[in-house]
Amino acid sequence: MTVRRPKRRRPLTLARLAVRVLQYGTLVFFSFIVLLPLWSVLAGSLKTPLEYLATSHTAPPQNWFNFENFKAVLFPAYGPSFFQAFFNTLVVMISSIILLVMFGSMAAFVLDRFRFHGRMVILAIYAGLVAVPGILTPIATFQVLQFFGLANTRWALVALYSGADIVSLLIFIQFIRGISTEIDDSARIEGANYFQIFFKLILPMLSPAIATVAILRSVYIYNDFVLPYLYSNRPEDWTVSIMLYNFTGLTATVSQAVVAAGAVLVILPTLIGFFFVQRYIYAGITQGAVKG
Amino acid sequence: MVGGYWMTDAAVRPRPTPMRPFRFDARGQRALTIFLFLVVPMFSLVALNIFPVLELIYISFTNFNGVNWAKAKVIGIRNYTDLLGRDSEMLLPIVNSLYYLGGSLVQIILATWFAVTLNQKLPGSQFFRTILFLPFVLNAVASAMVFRHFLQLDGALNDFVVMIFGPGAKFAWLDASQSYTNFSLAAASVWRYLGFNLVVTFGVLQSIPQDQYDAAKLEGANGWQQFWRITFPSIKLVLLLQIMLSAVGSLEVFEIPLLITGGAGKTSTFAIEMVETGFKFRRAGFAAAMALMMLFIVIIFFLITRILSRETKSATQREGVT
Repeated sequence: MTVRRPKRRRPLTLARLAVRVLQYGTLVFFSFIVLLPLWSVLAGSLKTPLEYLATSHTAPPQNWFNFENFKAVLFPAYGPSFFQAFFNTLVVMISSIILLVMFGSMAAFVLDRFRFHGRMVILAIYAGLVAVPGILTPIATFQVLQFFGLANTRWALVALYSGADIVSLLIFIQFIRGISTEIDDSARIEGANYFQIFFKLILPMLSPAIATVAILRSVYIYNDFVLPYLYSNRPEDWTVSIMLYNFTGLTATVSQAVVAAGAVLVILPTLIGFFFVQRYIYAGITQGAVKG
Repeated sequence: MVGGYWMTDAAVRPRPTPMRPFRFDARGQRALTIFLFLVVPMFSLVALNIFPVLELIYISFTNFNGVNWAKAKVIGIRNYTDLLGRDSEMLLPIVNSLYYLGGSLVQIILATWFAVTLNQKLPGSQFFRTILFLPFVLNAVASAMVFRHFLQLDGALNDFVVMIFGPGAKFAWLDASQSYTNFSLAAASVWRYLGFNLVVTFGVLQSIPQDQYDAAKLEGANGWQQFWRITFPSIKLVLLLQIMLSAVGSLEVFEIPLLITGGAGKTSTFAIEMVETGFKFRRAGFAAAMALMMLFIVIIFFLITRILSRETKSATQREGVT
C-alpha cells in the first residue's frame, strides 16, 4: 500500500514505555497477590507451633524439612484419615469420569450423526439446564437421591458428577463433527453396524476430547465442595474437600500450623498435576465457554 | 451447521436387497442405536435435572419438612406470601450479592486488561498466565483456608499493615458482624476466579488474525485505536456473556462465605439462607419457594443475555467484523 513511506521501526516513545511499565507493573503486582497467601500457608505448614506464633506470617520456616505438621495431619490419633479421603475422592473421580466419557460421547455421537424427532428438544434441554444452577435445587435433588437409595453415599456424587454436563457434551459434539462422515459411510458399506462404528472407529479417535473432558472434570471434582457438602456426609465417604472442611473442627485444639499443613497437602497434588496438563485446561475452558 | 450426517435413509436405500437376513434392517438398527445410546443419559437428565425442578415446584406449595412426606400438606401459595410478607427478612441477604457483582465487574476488567497484555506476547507471558490462573485449579476448601489464613487477625496481610502503619492498625478483615467483610469475601472470589475470565478472553483474542493488527499498524494506528477498533469489537460478545454470567453467579454465591466466615452475621447470602432453611431448620417447603423465586430471577437474566447476545452478534455481523 504505502510503498513510499520507509518502513520504520516503531520507536519506544514515552507513552509506549509507560504502557509497558504499567503492564509489567500490574502483572507483577497481581502475581504477588496470588502467590503471597499461598506462600504464607506453605511457610506456616513447615513451622513448629511455637515458631508459627513467634514469627511473621511471611517469614520462611527455620527448618524447610520440618514435616511434623504433615505427620499430624496424615496420622491423626482418632477420626477419619486423609488417606481414606484421598481414596474416596479417587473412587468418585474415576467412576464419574468413566461414566461421563462413556455416556457423554455416546450421546454426542447420536446427537451429531443422526437427525431424529426430539433431537432439538434434547439439545434445547441441555442448553436450558445451564440456567438451572445446582445450588438452587438441593431440596428436591436430595429427595430424588433418597428415592434411589443414593443419598448420603458417595454414589450420589458419582450420579451427579457423571450426569448432564453441557460443556463435556459440547466438546464431544464439536470433536465428532470434525470427524469426516466418509469414515462412517465406508464402514457402513463394509457392513459395520453403528455400534461397531462408534466403538471401533469414533471412540478411539476421540482421545484428545476425552483427555480434555477427563482433565476438566477431574479438576472440578477434586476441588468441589458444594456437592459432597450437600449430599455425602458419612465420615467413611468424606472426600478431600469435606475432610479438610471438618478438619478445622476436629483439630480445634491443634496449632494453626497443622491446619495449614492440611491445606498444603490438599493443594499439592493439583499444583503438580496442573503444570503438566495446563494446556488441556486452557483449551477445554476456551472451547466450553465460547460455545456455551 | 456442517453437513454430511446420516441422512436418514439416503445412505441406505441404494442397497435394496438385504444380504444378511438375520440382521436388523437399517431403519431398525438406526432407531435401536439412537435408543440405546441415549437411554442412560436421558434417564439421568430426567431423574437428576428435570424432575427435581418439577418436584421443587410441588414442594414449594406444601409445608413439607424435608423428611416426612406423610405430614406434608398442600398449603397453596402460603410459602410465597410469607416470603414476601411475614418472613421477608429472609430476602435481605440478596443485597450482599451486590458486593460480589461489584467484585466480578472488577474481575472482568482486570482479566481483560491481562488478556490483552498477555496477547502481546511479551517476554514472560506464559509464566504470568500460569500464576494468575493458578487459584482457579485449587481446591475450594483449601483456597478458602489459604485466604482465611491470609486475612485473619494475625495473618500475613496484617503483618504488612502493622509494618507500614504501626501495631495499632491491625484490621479485622473477616469480622462477620460487619458489612465491610463482604468486600474481603468478594476479593477472595476475584482472587479465585480471575484466571478463568482471563483464559476465556485470552482464547478469543488469540483467534483474531494477526494481519488485522499489522494492517492497522501500517496505517499508523496506535495501541489505543487498535484496541477499540480491532480487539474490543471481537471480544464484545464474550465480555457481555461474562458480565451476565457473573450477575447470575453473584446471586448464587454459596461456598466462599460459607467456608471463610461460616456465612455468619452480615456475610450470609441468599443461597446459604436457602440451604439452611431447608436442611437445618427443616422448612423445605419455604426453602423451595425461595429457590424458585431465585430461579425465576436467574431465568430472566438468561433471557436478557440471550436477547443481548443475539443483538450483539447481528450488530457485529453488520459491521463485518470477524
